[in-house]
Amino acid sequence: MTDPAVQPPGEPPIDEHPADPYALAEGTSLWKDAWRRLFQNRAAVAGLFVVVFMAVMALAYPLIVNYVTQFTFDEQHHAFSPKPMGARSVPMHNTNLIDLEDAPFATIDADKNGQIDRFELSTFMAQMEFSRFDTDGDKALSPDEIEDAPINLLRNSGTQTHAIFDTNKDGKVDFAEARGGQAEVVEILPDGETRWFIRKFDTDKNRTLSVAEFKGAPEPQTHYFGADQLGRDLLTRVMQGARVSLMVGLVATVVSFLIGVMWGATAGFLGGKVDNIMMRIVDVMYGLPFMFLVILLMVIFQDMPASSKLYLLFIALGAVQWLTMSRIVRGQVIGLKHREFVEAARCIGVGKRTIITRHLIPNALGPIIVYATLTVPAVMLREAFLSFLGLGVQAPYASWGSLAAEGAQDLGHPWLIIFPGAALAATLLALNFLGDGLRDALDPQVRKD
Amino acid sequence: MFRYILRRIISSILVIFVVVTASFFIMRAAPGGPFDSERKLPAAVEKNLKAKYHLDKPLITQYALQMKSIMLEADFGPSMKYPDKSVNDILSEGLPVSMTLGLQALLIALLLGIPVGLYAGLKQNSWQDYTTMTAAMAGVSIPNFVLGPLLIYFFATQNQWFDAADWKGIGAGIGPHFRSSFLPSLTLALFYVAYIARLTRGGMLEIVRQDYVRTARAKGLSERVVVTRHMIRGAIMPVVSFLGPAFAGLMTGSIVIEKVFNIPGLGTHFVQSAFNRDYPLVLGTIVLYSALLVILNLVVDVLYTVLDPRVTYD
Repeated sequence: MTDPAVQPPGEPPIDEHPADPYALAEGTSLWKDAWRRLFQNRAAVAGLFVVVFMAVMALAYPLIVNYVTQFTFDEQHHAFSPKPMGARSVPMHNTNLIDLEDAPFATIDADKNGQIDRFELSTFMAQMEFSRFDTDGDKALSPDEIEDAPINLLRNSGTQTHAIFDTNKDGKVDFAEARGGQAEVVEILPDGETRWFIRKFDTDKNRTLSVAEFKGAPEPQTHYFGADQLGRDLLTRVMQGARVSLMVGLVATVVSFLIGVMWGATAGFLGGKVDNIMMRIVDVMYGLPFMFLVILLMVIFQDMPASSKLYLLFIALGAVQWLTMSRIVRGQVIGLKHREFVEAARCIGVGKRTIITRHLIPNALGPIIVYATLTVPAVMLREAFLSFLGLGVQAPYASWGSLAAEGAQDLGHPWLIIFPGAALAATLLALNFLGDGLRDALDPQVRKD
Repeated sequence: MFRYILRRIISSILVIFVVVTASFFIMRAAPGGPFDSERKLPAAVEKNLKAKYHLDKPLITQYALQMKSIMLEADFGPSMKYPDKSVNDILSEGLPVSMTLGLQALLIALLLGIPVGLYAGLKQNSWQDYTTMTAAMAGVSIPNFVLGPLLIYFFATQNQWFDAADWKGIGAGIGPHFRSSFLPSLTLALFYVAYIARLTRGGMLEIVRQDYVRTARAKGLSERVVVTRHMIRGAIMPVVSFLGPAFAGLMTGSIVIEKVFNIPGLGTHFVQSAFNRDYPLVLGTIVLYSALLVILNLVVDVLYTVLDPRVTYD
């Protein structure tokens, strides 16, 4: 009659393998319990995943720069910048890059599909670089129009470099010419004239450039996120920005954590008049428009060296954020210090120090950790805000905020703001979800159900 | 109540005084001055200029002079960068612009955030609740200086539905004002829409369990009356206490929004004057910001007692 699958509510399920009734139930500690609850929260787990991902990216930055992007965060590839996603440039670290003054053509037929559709030209002196070249059409572009890709035929009559492609306008690149002060003649044109210095690539000598490659030419690397105004690889910069943004978030949070815990714990522990005075000071400081003072501070010390300015940023942002932390810590300490388990510990002769480290701190830690987790995105947002105003991290270093600021200046090329903005927003969102999840996990009573 | 307000006013003045003093000395501790430029001024000219603005006097005298004119005459003196304008003029031009922006943003935040929060709270744990709250979390996380340029890109350059970077006051007519101010106000508001929605939902969840709501239901009141008469009032209390921090946030936020949308408000003057070392203008903006902040905070706290009779400050 009784189907074991359909249990009336309220009754425990029938255990087919009853455990040893005399075995001690394994206790779950507060933390184990919290972890379990945290991992049941899908949003928090997703947040944790994103945060860990960003942190790994930031930590692995040197490796990624070496093996994936191959660009450094401040090397510039000016031509046709800002470059869209997928454009390619020859990284500068490549030491076997042919002597640039000598050989302006780095690579032809970069994608090795037998057709020349991408073309790279670098001259060291002119700092010019043709990152894309498309030979499908015959439209000649004036130098002003070069900015607006797609480029079908390019005539760049810049001061030092002149390149002509598809000179007979049959839609094919028959030969490539380049004139540059330092370029040398490799082969003479069919008509025997050397009107200017020409470097020609016609490796199979059939008078068409089907596949042409400079000997020893380095592979161009892809700008996966495109490149900015100065032709700096955006992916590399976003990852470098991750380092700065995450570090500011972390260090400033630690600063606020230290000040807040010390202030709050002292006030809560000593109580009485000291507590009163310390908390009134916090009250008054709550009323101060702190961000304005921070802005002022950052503007005023604009000309400081970049590294000491970073310290100033840590301290300024941390100092803004510790007030709430001190209130939380004080509340926790006051709430805990008269609890029974503390009394009990005192009764059995546990020292003051041990009471603090073994009983007070572990029990007060939950809300503190939750608040600290939520402080990280708040601080990161503030740093980004300052950097956006040009007051935070200094060039050539970047943070997500300063990258977004550069992107906001140039809305014709939206990827410049989308990538750093998305990285910042995703990280903040992840941290917020994680903080919320931690709160629910550590403090089941105040759950938002 | 009166004593409480009086006490708050006194402490507000103290706060402003501390802020002004701190800003004065931070600025003076910094290298550079208002008359540094690419072109070095002749020594005599610089000397005269410094004399004109009392910069040749000892720092403490300058401080006293400045404080005297601010506290007693409410006069911030002439701007050092724009000699033909007084700081008071510049501030009275910028303030209405920033106030309009801030108030419109606040209005959007309240009109959008509260209903969304109430809805999510009423439908707790439904998919509507999860969707709106996830969206609200995203709204809290997207920085306004990322959102603003994207809105400009999509709604002002790709589609010319709104204007960007050409602020027109209400004086220019409702239409142009709306076209030029909608995007910045929305950008500034979005964080607060999301935050207020979260707060309202939280308040709602708390209220649902209150005895007086159960009593109202038990009396046989219709659900509509229970919600509108009994629940909303309690549910928005967290929002009211958030208004104080919200004002502070709207003001700092508007600095960025003014930069993104090229709006000639206070924030632009504040950052620019600090860069220019235009000492009187910096002090002027700081005083104005702090005063606005403490006054608005006071108003919010008083409003709180009106809305929630259980709260008294005596």
